[in-house]
Amino acid sequence: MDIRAQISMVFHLDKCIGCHTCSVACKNIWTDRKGAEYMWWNNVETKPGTGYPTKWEDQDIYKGGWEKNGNTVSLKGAGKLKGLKNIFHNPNMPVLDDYYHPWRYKYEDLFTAPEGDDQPIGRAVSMITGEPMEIKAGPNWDDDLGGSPEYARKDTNFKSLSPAEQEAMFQLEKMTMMYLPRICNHCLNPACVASCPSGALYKRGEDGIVLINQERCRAWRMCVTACPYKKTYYNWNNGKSEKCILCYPRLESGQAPACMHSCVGRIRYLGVMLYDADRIEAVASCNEDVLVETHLDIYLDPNDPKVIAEAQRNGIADSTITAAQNSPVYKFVKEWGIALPLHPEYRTIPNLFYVPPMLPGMAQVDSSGVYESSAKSLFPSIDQNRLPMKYLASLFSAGDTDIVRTVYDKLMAVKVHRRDCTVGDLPKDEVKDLMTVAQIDKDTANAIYRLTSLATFEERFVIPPAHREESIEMLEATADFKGETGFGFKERPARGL
Amino acid sequence: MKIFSKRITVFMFFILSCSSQYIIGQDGEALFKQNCTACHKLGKKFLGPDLLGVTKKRDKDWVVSFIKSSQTMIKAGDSLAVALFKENNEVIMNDQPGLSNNDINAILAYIDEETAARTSSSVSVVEEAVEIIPIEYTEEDVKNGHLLFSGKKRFANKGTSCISCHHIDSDELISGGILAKDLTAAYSRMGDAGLVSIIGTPPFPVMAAAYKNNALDSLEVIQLSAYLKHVDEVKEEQQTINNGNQVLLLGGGGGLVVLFLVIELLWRRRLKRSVKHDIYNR
Repeated sequence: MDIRAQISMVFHLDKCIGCHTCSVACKNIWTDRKGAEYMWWNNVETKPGTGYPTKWEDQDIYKGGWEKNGNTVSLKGAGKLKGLKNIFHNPNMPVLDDYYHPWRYKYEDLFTAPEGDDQPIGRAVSMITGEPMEIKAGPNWDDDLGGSPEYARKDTNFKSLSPAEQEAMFQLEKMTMMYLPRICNHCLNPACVASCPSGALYKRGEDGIVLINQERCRAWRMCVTACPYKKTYYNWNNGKSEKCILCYPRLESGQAPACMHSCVGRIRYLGVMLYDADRIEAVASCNEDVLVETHLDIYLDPNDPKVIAEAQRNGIADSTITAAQNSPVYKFVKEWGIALPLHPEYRTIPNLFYVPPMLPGMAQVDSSGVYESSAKSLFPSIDQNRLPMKYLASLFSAGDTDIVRTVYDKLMAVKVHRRDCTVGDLPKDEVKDLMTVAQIDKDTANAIYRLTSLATFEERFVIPPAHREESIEMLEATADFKGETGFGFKERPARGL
Repeated sequence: MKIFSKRITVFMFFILSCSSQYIIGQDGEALFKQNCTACHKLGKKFLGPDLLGVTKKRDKDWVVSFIKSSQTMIKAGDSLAVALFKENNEVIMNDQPGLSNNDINAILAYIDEETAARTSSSVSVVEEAVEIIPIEYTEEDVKNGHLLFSGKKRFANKGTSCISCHHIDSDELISGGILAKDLTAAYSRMGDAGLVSIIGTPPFPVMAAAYKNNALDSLEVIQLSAYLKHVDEVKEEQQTINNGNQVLLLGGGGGLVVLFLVIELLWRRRLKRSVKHDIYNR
C-alpha cells in the first residue's frame, strides 16, 4: 500500500442555480490576463448542452483521456509514439473557435462619440486582435438552453439515448435542464500529466493538485488535447499552457478556493481523501462495467487504524489524517454514496464528484391530449424525473443506470424522511418503504440533510494544514522579494497549524 | 519642345566629343590590334576566322553589320552568319558598340592594305609570325592560377579576381559568380592562344572595363590559362553545380508533393475545422 492524500471536491448539483459567480470569481483572480481571456478554469454549463469548449465530451473529435489497452491504459490521442508523430502538428487540437473568440465593448465610445442623430454604441472589439468583431459565440452561448436546436440537441450524451427518448426530453412540458459547474478534476491518473513531452505537468505530493510548471512548459499543447475535460488551456500570449490550480495559494493559507468560497448556492465541498496509489493502474484499466465501483474503492477509510498506520508510515501528517476523517467529500462519496464522478469512462480517475440533481416530473400531456399534472403521491417517483436515467448515467456512471438509480433512491429517501420529520403528512409505510429501498437509516438521512442544507463554512471546507509552506517559512523569510515562497508580510498567513 | 531640342543638341555634342578620339586617330592598324587581335589574325585562322582577304570575299555592308552585331544577324537567320558561327565552335563574337563606321572603315582599309601587301610579297614569313606555339605549363603555374582565379592571391595590379564573375565546376572552388560565362570548358573552346589573348586583352566590354586600369601581367595570364587548361582536363571528375540544381529542383518539388500526400494520408482524420463550423453556417 502506498497511501497518499488527495484534495477532492463534491459539487451538489441540486443546489446549483447557474449564477456563474464561481466563474467570475475565478476569472477575476486568475484569468484576466492577456492571452487568458478565453480561459474559464471554472465554467458552468447547461445540460443538455454541448458545453465549453463545444462538444468537449466527444472524444471521437478531441481524442482526450485514456483507453483500456489489455491490463493497462494508453492515451487516446497522445503518448510516446503518437505524441512524437504529432508533436509538430497535433491533429486533435481544439481551435479558438471551439472555445470562443473573446471580446470586450468599446464603452469609451459612448462618452467620446461626437453629437449626432444616432445613439452612440459600444462596439464589440476582439480582445485578441483589437479589431471590431461580430460576436458569433461565447463561453456559455447555450446557457439555459439557449439555441437548443444547435446546442442542446447535439449533446454528446445523447448517443446512448434513442431518438424517441431524445425527443421526449424536448417536449415543451417536460423540457428541463441542469447546471454542471466544472473545474479541473485533479485526477489520480491525469492524462495531461502523462501526455506532456516536456514533463512540465506534475501532481503535488502533499495534496495531489495537478499543476503546470510554467518554466518547463514548452507549448507542445499535448495536455490540451489529452485532458478529456478540456481543462488545460493554452495562453497564446506567453506561450505556456495553464490550468486550474485549485487556488493552492489560498489552500496553503487555509482559505477555500475562490470558486468555492464565492458560491452562493453553497454547492461546493472540499476535503482530503486518502487513497492507495499502488492501485491506480488497476483502477484505470478495470472493466467498463465496474468503473465507478473500482474508482470509489481506491479511496480508503481514514478511520481504519490500519490505514492510519500506513498513512503515517508514508509521511502523511496527523493533521492531514484528521482532515481526511472530517472530510465532507469522504462522507458524500464513500459513507453515503450519493456523489459520482463525471465521465469515469475517460479513466483519469477524477477527484471531483457530483451529487446529481433531482428534477422531479411535473406534468405531461397524456394520450388523450389532457395536460395531466396530478401525481399519485406528493413526490413523483424518480422514474418520472425529467432527465432520463440513461442521460444521467451517461454523465456520471459510464452508462450504468443502476448506479445512478441507487443514488436517487437515497436522495429521495432523505427527501421523504425530512418531509416526514418537518410536516409529517406522508403515509408512514411509504416513507419506510423508500428508506428500505435506499438502505439508509434515519441518522444517515439526517446527516445528509444537515451537510446538504445547514453545513457551516468549516464543515464544507476541511482544508488540511500546509506543512511544507510552514516549514519553509521556518527556514527562510518568504516576503523579502517577489517570487519567494508564500505571501503575507503584514499578517502572517494562517497555515492551519 | 524648345527645351527638348536643346537637350538633343547637348546630347549630340556630348556624343561627338566622346567619339572624337576615333575620328581624329583613324589609325586602322592600331584599331585592329586593340579590338580584333584577341580573336582574329591575318593569314591564319585563330579563334575567329582568318581575316586576310575578307573584304574581297564578302560584301562590305555585310561585313560592317557583322562587326557591329554578329548575334543580331545570326538570330535574324542570315545563312552565311549562321554557317560561320557553327564553323567557329559557336564562339560568340562580341558586339562592337565602341566602333564607329569610320573606325570600321579604317580597320577594313588596314585589312585591305595588308592583304594587298602580303599577296605581293612573301606570304610564308607572315604566316610564321602568327604561328602559335603550344604553351608548356608547369604544375607551379596551375597552382598559382588556382590561387589567382579564386582570389586567394591578389593580382599584381589589383584587378578583381576571376571568381567574382566566373564559375568553374571544380571541387577545389566554391561556386563562382554568375555574371559571366562558366569557364569550365573554356580551354576546349578556345585553346591556349585564345585564352592567353582573351585574358590578356579582353574583348568583352564589361571585362575590358573591369581591367582597364589594372591589366593582368603576362605571367598571370599564363598561370590563369594553365589553370583553366587543368580544370578542363579534370572536369569529368568534378561535381557539377548545374546537375545539383536540377536534382534539387526536381527532387525538392517532387519531394514536396510526396510529403504533402503523406501528411494528408497520415493526418487524414485531423480536426479540419472548428466544431462550431456547422453552427456558424446554419
